[in-house]
Amino acid sequence: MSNIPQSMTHKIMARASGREQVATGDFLEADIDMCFTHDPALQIIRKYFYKEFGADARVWDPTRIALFQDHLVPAKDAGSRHLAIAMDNFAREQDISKYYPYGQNYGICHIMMCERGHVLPGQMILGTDSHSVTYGAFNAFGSGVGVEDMLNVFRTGKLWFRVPEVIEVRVEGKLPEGVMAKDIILRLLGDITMAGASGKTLEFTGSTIENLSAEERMTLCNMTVEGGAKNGIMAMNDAAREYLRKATGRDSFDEVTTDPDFEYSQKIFYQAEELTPMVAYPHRPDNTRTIAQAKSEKIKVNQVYVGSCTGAKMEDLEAFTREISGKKAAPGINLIVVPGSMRIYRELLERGMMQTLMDSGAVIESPGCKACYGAHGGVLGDEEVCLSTTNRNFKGRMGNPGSGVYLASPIVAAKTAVAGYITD
Amino acid sequence: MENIITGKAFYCGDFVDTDVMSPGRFEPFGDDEALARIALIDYEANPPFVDPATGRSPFTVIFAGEEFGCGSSRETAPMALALAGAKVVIARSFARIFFRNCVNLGVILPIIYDHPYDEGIVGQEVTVNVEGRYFQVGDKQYTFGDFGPLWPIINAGGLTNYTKQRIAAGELA
Repeated sequence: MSNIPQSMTHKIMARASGREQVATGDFLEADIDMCFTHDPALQIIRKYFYKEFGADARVWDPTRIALFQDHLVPAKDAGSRHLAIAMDNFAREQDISKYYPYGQNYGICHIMMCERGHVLPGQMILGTDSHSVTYGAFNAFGSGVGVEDMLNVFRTGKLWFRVPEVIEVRVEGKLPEGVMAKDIILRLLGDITMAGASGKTLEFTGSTIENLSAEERMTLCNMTVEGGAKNGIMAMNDAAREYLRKATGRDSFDEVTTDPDFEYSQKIFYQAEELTPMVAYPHRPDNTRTIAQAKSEKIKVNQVYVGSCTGAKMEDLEAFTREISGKKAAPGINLIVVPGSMRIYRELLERGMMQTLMDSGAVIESPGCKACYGAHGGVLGDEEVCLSTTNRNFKGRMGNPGSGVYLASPIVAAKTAVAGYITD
Repeated sequence: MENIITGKAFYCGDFVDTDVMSPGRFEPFGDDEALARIALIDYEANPPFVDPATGRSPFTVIFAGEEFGCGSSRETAPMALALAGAKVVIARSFARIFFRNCVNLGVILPIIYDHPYDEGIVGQEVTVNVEGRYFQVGDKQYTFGDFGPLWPIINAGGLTNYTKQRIAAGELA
């Protein structure tokens, strides 16, 4: 085989399929290093796992599976509770110890996967949730799949893939004060649209990315799926290594890099100093405006929601708390804060941030996906408007097709809560 | 999968996401009957995809624009369409997880084709010949590409059937 320059995604896929190298467009069957599912998906997977593969079927490797309760806990109705019970049963039947049910050690799956050390560089990681692209922040191939995919992965540990084209997104320089990773990804989505990276890899490079904190890197990769991407990925940096050392107890990692002569299918460039806070208008994450434009329209909000795998990591809440400290939410605004995990929740308490948030008028809810996807908590009335640190603002996404959701960073969320209209 | 599929056409525009196909506010989704009833419920169209009187769709083939099925990975989206009565989606492009779900579940045939149709197609009779790899609207016939390495999965009726075949053949442990 002649030598084909490889991207980091190519190298991960080659290793996982037992090949020296792969070519863009190749179909392959990869061995999965780590996978997970959550409460809305597990019940149906469990049912078909035993139905299709036999009552005594075993998963291929219980140590490579994690289970999370995050979407419908605490249960809003009996049906939701049954999902949790099904997960209890499956974890016990299959000896799955990486199990995080509602309780003292639960949280949103993507934040938990990273926080609990289930993500390693160079690995193939799948979840039954589209935001599984988050793990590229740690130089892994992370991708979302459906339950039928996962049903088969649980049994065989293998899955089919097509090697994607890779788009380079290079960001150089120092981000201005008040500009976060959320603003970079919203800007990118506005530029390339929701079809811009369809089925492709978004690979981030450049000095801005090299200097980004671990959790900001997670935000960037997390929303690559909003551009249609198969995965988002970046080379490791010191912050990411430090995060993983703490999370995994390991000292060194099998990192992958892109060959210098690899040919990207497209190259996109941003100068960090030129970026500004961004806002995505209803009803699409690529329907973006600059904060200056949004501010000039004086868009009144009824609710500010700080939550989700995108916008409720520790650093998101630090940025939000720092910004709102000593100030108060405008009268009549529902200010809802949903920490990403119980570990984050506890840290808010220990560091006194809980007090600051409550003094600002925020209500701190228990961790979970909650209003981000509209199943329960924080549903809006007709014509109502929410400014949210989440990832999607599709029509009805937050529970009511008659409402409007604007997406922005935690800093913009804090300033908007205080002003009562979208501002920075 | 049947080889010849015939029925009425429905139309969806660009970027029709899985939230409008099976909205989170209905989770947990309940039985097949309930899921069929909410298929594309937040997609505004007249007539709607599902007839509220019957809880089923009179449409068999959906013509769509770009990135059909973008957003959440929920398999309830293609399942809802299928349970309501759809068998084929012909889209200019698909979001990748939705496309995977269609292939793997074996309930909807996802055909990528840059078709010329818009709302005007709604209600027209369409025939899809799966093995012949063409679809027909009136006297116009369009040939679509082959499914390459995915064909064995589609032909087996989905990924789980395909896996079981491979286990039985000793290809997988």
